[in-house]
Amino acid sequence: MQLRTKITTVFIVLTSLFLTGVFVLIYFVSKEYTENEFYLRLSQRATIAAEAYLDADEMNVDIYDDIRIKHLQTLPNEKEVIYPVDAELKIPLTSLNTELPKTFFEKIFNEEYAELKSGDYYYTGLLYHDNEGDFIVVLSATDLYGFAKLDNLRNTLIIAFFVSIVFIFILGNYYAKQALSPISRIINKVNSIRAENLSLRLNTVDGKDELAELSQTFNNMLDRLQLSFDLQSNFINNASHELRNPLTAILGQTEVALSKKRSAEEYHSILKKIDAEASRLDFLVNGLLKLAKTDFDSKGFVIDAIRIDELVLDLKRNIDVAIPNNKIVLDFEELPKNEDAITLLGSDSLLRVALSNVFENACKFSGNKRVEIKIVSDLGNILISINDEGVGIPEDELKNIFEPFFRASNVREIDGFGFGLPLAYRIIKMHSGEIRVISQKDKGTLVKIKLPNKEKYNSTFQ
Amino acid sequence: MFAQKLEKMKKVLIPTDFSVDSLQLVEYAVLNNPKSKLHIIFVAGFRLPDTRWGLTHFSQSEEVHKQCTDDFITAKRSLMLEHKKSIETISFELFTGENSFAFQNFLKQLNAADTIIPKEKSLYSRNKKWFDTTEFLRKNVRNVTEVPVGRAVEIPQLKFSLINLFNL
Repeated sequence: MQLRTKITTVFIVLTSLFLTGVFVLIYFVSKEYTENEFYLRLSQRATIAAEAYLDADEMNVDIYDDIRIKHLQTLPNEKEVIYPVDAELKIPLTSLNTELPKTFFEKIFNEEYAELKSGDYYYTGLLYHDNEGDFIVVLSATDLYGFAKLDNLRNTLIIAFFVSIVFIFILGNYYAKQALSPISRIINKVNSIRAENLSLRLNTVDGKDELAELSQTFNNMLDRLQLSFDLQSNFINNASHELRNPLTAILGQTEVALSKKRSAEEYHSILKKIDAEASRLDFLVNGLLKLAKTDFDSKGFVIDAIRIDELVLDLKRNIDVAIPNNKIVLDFEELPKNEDAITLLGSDSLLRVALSNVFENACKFSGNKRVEIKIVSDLGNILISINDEGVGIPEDELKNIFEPFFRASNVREIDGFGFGLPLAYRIIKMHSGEIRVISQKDKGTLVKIKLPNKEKYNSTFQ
Repeated sequence: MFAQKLEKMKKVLIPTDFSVDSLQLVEYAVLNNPKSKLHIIFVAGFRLPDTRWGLTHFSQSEEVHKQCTDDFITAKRSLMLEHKKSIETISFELFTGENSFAFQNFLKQLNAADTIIPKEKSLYSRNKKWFDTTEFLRKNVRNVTEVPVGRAVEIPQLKFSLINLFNL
């Protein structure tokens, strides 16, 4: 069953039930009111009848009858019967109408008034005390006007019900179609999106309804897919390009060496160049291997207790050898005395790679300007902030910095492969940490690393 | 020496919605002013109560206290700890006016000429009395620095209209 038919059907069923309830209520309330009104008129007629016949000796009957006929309309099929009774003994002095139930007369004796409906006839009986004795006056009539009114009301309600259902069906069907038409459009559009035209997007409308959210969600998913596709193709392009460059250089050098006989010095120089290119290739392949390892082997590393200040100091010493003119300033002023607060559990070798990549990047992309590394410990976390005054990262490229081989547009002339930060990101994530980069072009970059310390690690993971 | 020290002190106004994400603006303030000691003033718009009782019992510090969640306080504490050398103080000011003239008077009192604001609309609060002061800051403060601020939670659009019911 189509969703549209389902919605329309449910809508019609619910509305029909509601309308039926309301209409039945209206009918029965009207019926009750009409009957009560008729009984009231019957009782009034009964009183008049009793007074006309039983008080005839005390007033001018002719005048009374004249008024009664002229001004008081007789009810349809009106019939008055007066029975002399003994009210005290509660017995009739003549035979009562046997067609009426005994309970009717008993009620008159007890309560001096009773109502009854039998067939189309309404009966009211009242006990009348007169100077000539006690009497029961029973007056019966049919409520032809009331029945006609009720029949008319019932027919009107039935017609109104069916007309409403038809209208509700038409409107419900139209509205359901209108409501679901964006889904059909989304389905058609999504079906037309392939890997070749991933740039296509769904039309989104303003608003915050579920369908607008669905379109937005699809578009966000497509954004992510396109980005992944682009990055993947870029990764292959970049990796091929980076691997090909040293290989081309090596092949070029060997070609030059083999083209003619050369002196020992010349061979030595060529071999040195080949060695440099091969080392670059080796570094690149090692980097790729590490990247792959962090992707697939996140649980298989050896966990050591590492004091973060010692690790950072050690890395600083290594950087001092590799980049002698670096201006790294360490700020350990806020370090707590509690050793566990600045000790973390993780892979020493991986964390070395991650932190040294971040530190070297800070030096490299700031032209060896001042780089401040600060360590603090707060609420179970070790916070390392690395603040440089370098070239910064363009705002629109910030979201891509953790993708392998991505290089910001303003640092293309600086050597590098673009997998230092992605590797650091994965290593930090493997250690249940966070890394955030706050950067502004030409202002500098602030890298913030948050890692759980030994205390938190023990309470969370054990 | 004292004069030099004074020169390095800088008041920076930062719009806030009392969310942890909005604290990124403080980090940008630190990044943009590496050689200054910063007095960070968080500015939030706040509609004054309508009742006389509410007005007489209105207290800025109490309202600020109500708005600050535990996460926000923790993140602010960490931020202060991390940038102890750069950040001297962090304080809050509620702007209760409704137009730029009122905001200019408000600025005179604060005596600040720098602001860091998000480039795109990224501040949001569930509190109906809160309103965003980013536009006021952009228009009225002398030195405006716009920075990209990422938001972990999407800003919900709470506008509701009857016409939208039929606008399929």
